[in-house]
Amino acid sequence: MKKLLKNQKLLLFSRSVFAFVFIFAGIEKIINPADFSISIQNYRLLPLYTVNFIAITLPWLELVSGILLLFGNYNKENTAILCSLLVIFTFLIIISMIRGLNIDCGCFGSTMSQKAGWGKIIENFFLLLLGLHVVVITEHQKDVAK
Amino acid sequence: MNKKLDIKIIAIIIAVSATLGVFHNALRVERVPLIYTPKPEVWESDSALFINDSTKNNRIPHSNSVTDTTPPSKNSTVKQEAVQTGPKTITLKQAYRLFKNRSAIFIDARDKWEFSDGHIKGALNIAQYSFDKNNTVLKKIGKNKTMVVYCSESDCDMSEKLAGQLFEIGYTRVYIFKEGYEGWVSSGFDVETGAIE
Repeated sequence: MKKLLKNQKLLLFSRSVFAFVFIFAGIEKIINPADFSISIQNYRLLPLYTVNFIAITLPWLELVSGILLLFGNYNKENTAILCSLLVIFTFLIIISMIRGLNIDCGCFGSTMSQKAGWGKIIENFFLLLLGLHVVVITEHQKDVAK
Repeated sequence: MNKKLDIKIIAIIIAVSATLGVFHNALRVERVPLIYTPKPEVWESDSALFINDSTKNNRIPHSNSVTDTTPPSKNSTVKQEAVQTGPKTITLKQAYRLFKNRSAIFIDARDKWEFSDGHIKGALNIAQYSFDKNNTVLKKIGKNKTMVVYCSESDCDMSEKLAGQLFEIGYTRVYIFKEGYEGWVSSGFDVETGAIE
């Protein structure tokens, strides 16, 4: 199992998939920030005056981090950023479920509606595993190289 | 071996991303205001909502059929309806009056499971979450019918979203009932359970 996880091709696969998901998500939300702002509002957690700023800037963070990660730059930092976002998004979905909100998660903009529910949480969990694979194995390989 | 994350790099990535986002938004034709300001609710007046009630001597027969698009009779003194620029909000009292007069179709914007658990009596279900302009329920509703869209309660914005979507495809007499199902139930008004086939 350890040997499999350290496999370079698998690592590249994990890093690429992880990066591509966020690049795609970022682009979809950059195309229509107004809709993403509405999605953020639907969670009813943040002060309303902040939702537009987040809707305008967050997708660019996903895109920039995703691209840097895809090209192998600052893997640890970018994976940390994206994993943190993933944890926050999952936490928000769980809160909305507890509150009984029936809302679109807003994860991929308005073109791909996905309900904020168990399906999304499971999806995020597997994505987080990919991210952790990248950061843990990359760190291990640096240790071994030294 | 340095296992710590480089916080400086993370801060730079976040700052660059935020800057790119703000600049991109500034260059957009349909730019989004940096600080969100909510649109004020636009309430419909009784006079505009209950136009037909002003013609008591020449009352148009109410129809229970949702496909009824019969125009007013020649002897009717019904005024021309004002053109709506977008869906307006109505109060619980106005919604109930429309319900009692049977002069509106109530649309439940929640998903089918919530609808089945309980909905305003006679309401139809068009889940906002999966709205499609080719919805089979809509095909049975004439575009001149008065529609009242609701969801669970005032915090729920599905009614507003669905009303906007309906308005965009030509349902100009669509209203938003913000207090929703919770407001209706707490007032003791008629509800029913189960899905409509």
